[in-house]
Amino acid sequence: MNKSGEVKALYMSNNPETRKPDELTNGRTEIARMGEVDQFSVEELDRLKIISGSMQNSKILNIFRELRTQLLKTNKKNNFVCMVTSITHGGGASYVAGNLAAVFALDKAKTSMLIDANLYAPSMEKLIIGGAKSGITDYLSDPSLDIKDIVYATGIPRLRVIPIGDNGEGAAEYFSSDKMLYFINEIRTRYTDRYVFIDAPPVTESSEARILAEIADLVIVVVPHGRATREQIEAAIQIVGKEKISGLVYNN
Amino acid sequence: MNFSILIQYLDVIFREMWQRKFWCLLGFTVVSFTILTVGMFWSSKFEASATIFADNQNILKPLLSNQAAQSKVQNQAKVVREMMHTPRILKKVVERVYGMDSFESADALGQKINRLRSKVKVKGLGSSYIKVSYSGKTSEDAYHVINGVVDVFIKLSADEQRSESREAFLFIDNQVKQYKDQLVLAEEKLKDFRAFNFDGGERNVDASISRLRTQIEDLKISLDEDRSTVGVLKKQLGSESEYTSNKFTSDVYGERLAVLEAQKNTLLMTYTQDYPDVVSLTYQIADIKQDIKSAVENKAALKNKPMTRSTDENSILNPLYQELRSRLSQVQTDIKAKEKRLVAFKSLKNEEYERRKRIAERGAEESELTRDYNVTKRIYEDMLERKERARLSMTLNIEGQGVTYRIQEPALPPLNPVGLRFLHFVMIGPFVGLFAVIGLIVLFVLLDQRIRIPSLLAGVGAETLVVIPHVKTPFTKRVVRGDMVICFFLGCMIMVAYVCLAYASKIGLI
Repeated sequence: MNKSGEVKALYMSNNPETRKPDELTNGRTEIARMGEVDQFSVEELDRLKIISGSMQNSKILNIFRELRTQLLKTNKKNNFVCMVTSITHGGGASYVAGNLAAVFALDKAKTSMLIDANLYAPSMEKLIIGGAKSGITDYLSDPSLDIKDIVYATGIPRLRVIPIGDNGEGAAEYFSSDKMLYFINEIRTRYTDRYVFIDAPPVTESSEARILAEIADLVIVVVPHGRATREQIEAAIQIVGKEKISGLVYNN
Repeated sequence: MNFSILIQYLDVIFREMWQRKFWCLLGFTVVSFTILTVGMFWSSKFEASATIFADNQNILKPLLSNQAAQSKVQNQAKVVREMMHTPRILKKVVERVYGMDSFESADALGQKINRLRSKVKVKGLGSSYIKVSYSGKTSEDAYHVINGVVDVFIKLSADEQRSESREAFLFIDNQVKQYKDQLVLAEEKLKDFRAFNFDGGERNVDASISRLRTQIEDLKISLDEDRSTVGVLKKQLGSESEYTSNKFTSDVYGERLAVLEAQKNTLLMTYTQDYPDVVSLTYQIADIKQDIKSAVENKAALKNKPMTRSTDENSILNPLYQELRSRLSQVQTDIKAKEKRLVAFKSLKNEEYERRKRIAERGAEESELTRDYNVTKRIYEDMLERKERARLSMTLNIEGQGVTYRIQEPALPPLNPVGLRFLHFVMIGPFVGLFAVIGLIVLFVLLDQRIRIPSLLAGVGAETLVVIPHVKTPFTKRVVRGDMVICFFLGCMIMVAYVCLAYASKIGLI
C-alpha cells in the first residue's frame, strides 16, 4: 500500500498534463528517473512470466528481442499502437503482449504502455504493485476520470499499464466511441518514444477485438500450439485485414 | 519427410502423450491386462511328428534293370497327403485311437474325421522323406494320433500295392493265353496251305516255258526246211524218168520195201504201233506194196501190148528217181511227225501258262498267311516277356521289396507345447499396451487438423514472426516433477499388479 502510494505520487508529480512545454523536450531525463521506482526482482518476474534483462533463460529474451526488431523494422518512422490478439481464448495473447511491452521497455530510450482490453480474462493488474482502482472501461464510461487516473506504474522500469477496470458491460460500444479514439491518439502522441500495446480478446470470437484492430496500427496474431486449425488462422487474418497484420507468433 | 520434421513430430507426440498421461496409463493398463487375460484362457498345443521314407530305390533295382516294372511316383509328399486324408484311413485311425464305440453318432465321427484331416499336415523333405505332423491339445493325444496315422497308412499302402501287382499279372496272363490261341490258329492255316500246293515255284515254270518256246522255234524252222526240201525233190522227180526198165522198177520197189520193213522193225523195237514214225512207215510200206503190185500189172500189160512202149522188158527203175522218191517220202514223213510234235508242244506251253497263273494267285494268299502268323508271333513273344516281368513285380511286392514306405523317424511324445504360450502373452502384454497407446496418439496427431508444427503455417496469408518455446517456470517445473513422480508410481503399481496376476495364474491360484 505504501509502495503503491509512492508510485502514484511520483507519477502525479511527473504528470505531463501539469508540466510546462519546455519540460516536454526534456523527456529523456524524465524517463531515466522513471526507472528508479520500486522494481520486481528476477524471481518475481519469472513467476509472472515476464522477461527481464538479467533473466536466466536468455533464449526467450532473445526471441522477444527478435520480435521487437521485426516490429521496428516495419515501422521505422515513429512509435505505434500494436494490438496483440489470439485465435482462441487462453491462446497466450496476454503473455505475448506483456512481454512485448517489457522488451520495448528494456531499451532505455523507449517506454511502453500496455492496455488491458481483454474483457474475458484481464490479467495485467498483477503487474501493478499495490493494485489498481480503475481502468480503461471506467475511463470511457465515466467523464470525471482523467487519463492520468488510469495509468499505473509497474514493477518494470519504463512500463506503464492501463488495467481493464470494473465497468466491463458495453465495452464494445465504448471501444468504438470517439473518446476511445481521442484516448489512443493522446497516448500515442504524448511521447514519441512510447510504444502502445493492447492485449485484446481472441479476434475470431469477440467483436471488441475487431473494433480495436481498426484503431491499432499493427496487429499480431498469436497462434497457440495444437489449438487452431489452418482455416481459423486464415479467417482471423481476413478479419483483421492483411494491411494491418504484422505477422503471426506461434506460441508453444 | 526430412529428419528435423520427424524430430518435431516425435516431440509433438510426446507432448500430446504427456498432456493425456493419465488416459494413456489407463489405456496401457486396459490393453495389457486384456492380453494377459487372453493368455490365461489360451489353450496350448502339442505337436508330434514322424518322418516317413518313401523307398523307391531299393537294393534289387540295379540287379533287375528293366526286367521288373516298378511303380513310379513323382511327388511322394502329394501322394502321401492324398492318401492320408482319405476318409478310409482317417476312419481307421479314429477307431484305433479313440475306440470303436466312443462316438455316439455318425455325425460326431464325421466331425472328428474332418478335424483330423485339417490337423494332419504332410510336408515333403527332399525327394524321398516325408514329414507327417499333428498338433493336439495334449501330448498323449498328439502322440497317439500321429502313430495311428503313420501305421495305418503304411499297412494300407503295402496291401494296396500287393493287390495291384497281382491284378496286373493276372491281366497280362490272360492276354498271353488269348494270343497263344491266335498264334496256333495262324500256324495251322499256314501248314494247310503249304500241304496243298503242288505247282512248285515260279522259277521252275519259267524255265520250262522258255525251254518249250525254244523247242517250238526250232521245230518251226526245221518244218520250213523240210517243206522247201519237198518242193525241190518234187521238181527233180518230174525231170527224171521213173524206170530205166520195168523190171528194174519192181526191183527197185522190192529193195525199197525191204529197207522200209527193216526200218519199221527197228522202230517197233523202241516204240508202239501208234508212234507217228511207225504209223508213217506202215503207210509207206503199204504204198510201196501197192506200187509193186501196179508195176507187176504194168509189166503184164506191156507183155500184151509190146507195141506201146518202145522200151523193152529189160528196162529197169531209174536209181536216181528212186532215190529222190525215197528222200521225198522220208521228208514228208518227217514233216508229218514234226507237225504233230508242234501241236503237242503248244498244248504243253499253254499248260505251263495256266500253272504259272495258279502259282501267282497262291503266292498272294501265302504271303497274307505268313504275315498274319509273324505279327501274332511277335506280339505273343512280347506278351510272354511282359508276363514274366509282371510275375517278378508281383513277387517283389509280396516279398515287400517294391515301392514301400518305411518309418524313418518314429514319433515321440512331445514334451513342450508349440505356438503361443502363457509366458509369451505375459511378455508381449505391456509392449502391446505401450504400442497401442503410442499408435492411438500418432493417429490422433496425424488426423487432427489443428496445427502443432510452426512450419505448417507457411502460406497461410501472414508470415510467422517468431516461435515462442514452451516456457518452464519454477512453478510449472515443480508441477511437472510431481506429475512424473505420480506417473512413475502409478506405472510401478500397474506393473506389480500385472506380474502378480500373471504369477498367480501360472501357479494356478486363479
